Amino acid sequence: MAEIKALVVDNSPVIRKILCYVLEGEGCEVEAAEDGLAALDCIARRRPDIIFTDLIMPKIDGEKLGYIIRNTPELQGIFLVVLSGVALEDNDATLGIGADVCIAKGTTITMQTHVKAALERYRRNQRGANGSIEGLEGLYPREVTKELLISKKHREVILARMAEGVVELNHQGRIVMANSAALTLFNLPEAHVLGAALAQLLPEAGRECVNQWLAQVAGAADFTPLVFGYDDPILLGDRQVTFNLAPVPEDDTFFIIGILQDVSRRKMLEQRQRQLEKELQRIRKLDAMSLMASGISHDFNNLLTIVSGNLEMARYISRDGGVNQLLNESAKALDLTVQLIRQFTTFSDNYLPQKSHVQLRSLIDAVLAHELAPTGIGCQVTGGEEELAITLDPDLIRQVFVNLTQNAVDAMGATGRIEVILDRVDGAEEAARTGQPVPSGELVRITFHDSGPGLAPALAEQVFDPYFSTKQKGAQKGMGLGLTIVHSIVKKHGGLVWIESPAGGGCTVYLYFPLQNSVVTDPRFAARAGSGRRVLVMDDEEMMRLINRKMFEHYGCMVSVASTGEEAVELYSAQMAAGKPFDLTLLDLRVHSGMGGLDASRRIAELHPEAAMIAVSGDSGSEVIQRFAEYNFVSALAKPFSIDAVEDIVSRFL
Amino acid sequence: MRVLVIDDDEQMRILLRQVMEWAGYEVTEAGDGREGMHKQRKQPADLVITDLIMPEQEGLETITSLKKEFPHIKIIAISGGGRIGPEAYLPAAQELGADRVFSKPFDVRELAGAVKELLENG
Repeated sequence: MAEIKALVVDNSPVIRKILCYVLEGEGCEVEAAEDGLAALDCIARRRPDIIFTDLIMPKIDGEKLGYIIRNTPELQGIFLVVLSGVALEDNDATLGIGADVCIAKGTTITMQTHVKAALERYRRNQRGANGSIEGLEGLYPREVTKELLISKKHREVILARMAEGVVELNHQGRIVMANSAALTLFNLPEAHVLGAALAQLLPEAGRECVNQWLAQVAGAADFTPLVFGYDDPILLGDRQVTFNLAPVPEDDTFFIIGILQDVSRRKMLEQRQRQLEKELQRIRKLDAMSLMASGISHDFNNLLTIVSGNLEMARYISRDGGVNQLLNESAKALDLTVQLIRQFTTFSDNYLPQKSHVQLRSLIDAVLAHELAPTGIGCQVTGGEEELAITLDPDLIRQVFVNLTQNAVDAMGATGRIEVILDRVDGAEEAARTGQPVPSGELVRITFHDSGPGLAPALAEQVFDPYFSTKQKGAQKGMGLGLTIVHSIVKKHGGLVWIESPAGGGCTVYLYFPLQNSVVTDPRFAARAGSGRRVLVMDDEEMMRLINRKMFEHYGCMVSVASTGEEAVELYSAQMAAGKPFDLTLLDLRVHSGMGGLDASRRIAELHPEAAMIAVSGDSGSEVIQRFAEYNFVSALAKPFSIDAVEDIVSRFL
Repeated sequence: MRVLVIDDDEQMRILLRQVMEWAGYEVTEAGDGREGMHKQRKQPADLVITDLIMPEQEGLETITSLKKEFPHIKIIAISGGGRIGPEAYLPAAQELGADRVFSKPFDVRELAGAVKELLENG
């Protein structure tokens, strides 16, 4: 019969000696280890048939050792005998580790008897302790031991609950303890982590550092901690983790306590905050442009009409070929000017998208077909075949894709490829994934990729800035407004655009547009003050109704109109019944026939005491207009009122 | 045939007068809607070209009044866009009775063509 290979694990040299003596006497080939870590090394060198292990040991204890043995396929079959010094005080732990025999540490004589019996059970292949602990006779529970065990468990619970990963390393840098947060960060089971060298679990850069540092600590007794801080974290899988490894001297050697912290989320949030700031800055820049564009477009359009009209007249009158030639050249330049001003007016805040239901896919197909026809550039569009619940301004959106395509064509030259993908994404998830301030809610995402040379990352930050261009500037070559216009149009639709130049080359523009009923939560990106609010306008003059409707719609309000007080009251009560009263009601005080605004206001107040109503009259001196508050109105307006007055109302009441 | 041009910008009026006279029409000019209504009552035109955003009386109001008093008159509305955006008022003008709308800057040949078409077919 072959010799039985036995392994004795105990931190007490006396017990080790006794057990070795007994087992050798029984004809076993015995090895001894002083703790779980040393035991793992012995096991790795030569797999024993039977292990006798103590429970409470430094480094890896008996409980963990048992756990590793039972959870490692090639070790599972080892016959496991536990010798517990705390069998009476903590028999749960003694029994819980899946031992084949449990022996309480007692007198040498009784232990000797039970060890021999355990060996006998091994020979007969009688496995499973079945809840029995041998050698309890003549033992009494000790209070001190109990208390120590309770405090040990308590510390283990605290460690397990900590958000930070905590590891203990021995002087060689091998892991002897790892709490559950640390295991999550390593993304490995405990059986793989315990006993492993920490350096081996790190990517190459970290591995080098840790090994050099360990040599320094051991060689020069220099106990300076090793820190991978917030600015140079270690990448574990896709997590960025900071490490703080602190050596602690102990007797003539040392051990190491390591604190690990997952900073990926904080980094991601910071990145998002930075992107948000950039986006806000860009919007501020565009706002300034928008203000100028509003002012300029009106004046310029007037002047351009006169210049072009007179040119036309001159061309018509003149019979002189030479003069006509000059006039033709002027007319051409003027055409370009007109186009430029047209583009510029899209920046104006007052240039509202005329939204309608758009089949985005066909629109993109059409633009690509038209723009790419004269070039040798191929394209592929995928997704978006299904009907998307989205309303956009078709002319503006066409402009977006024309500009994107022209940029791509300019970047690629004669050959290349454009790929466009349409799909639907969740805004919040997309924001988390990309770190971009993507509006939340359900969105359509359009990924527009070209196979050109791409952009340097620094440029990708700037391309949306006005008058930024990688091309040669000039009226015909492009003014550097193409992507700025794209940005402005996307923003007008409550969406977001950003650009990325991946390492593999090419350039990808991501555009997002909110689907209908999808909510944009960040107020800084909300379209404008009155967006989505409901307004009732009562006026007996059709023109006034029309103008009021236009003005409030300009602020994104939904407008209902009534021509008499009766009609207004009826509309209001219908909306009340539907649980959606109007956010604001404008009532004309004097109507030619039917109920006037004052009576209507009283009836509406009966229906809905919180109703916000504004008195409107052509007579600014009227008693009600002058003292509107006494008549239950929130404000009063004298006709004719301007868009500024409406803006004021929207900002105050909506 | 007579055309009434209502615009607060004098240069625009001069241009429109020239274009219309070259096209063979007689022209009356007015600087705002109120003056336009006044002149129309004294010497009725067959077609009115009116700007939409003017001091005193707004173009939309002028269109409504013109249609009320002169149901057969042809109206062309022009807008350069005020604070509300170049195209916002044009649909309103059409709803109120403008036969054609132009936004600035427009091609005077197209305008002349529209005037001719409206007057010949009407």
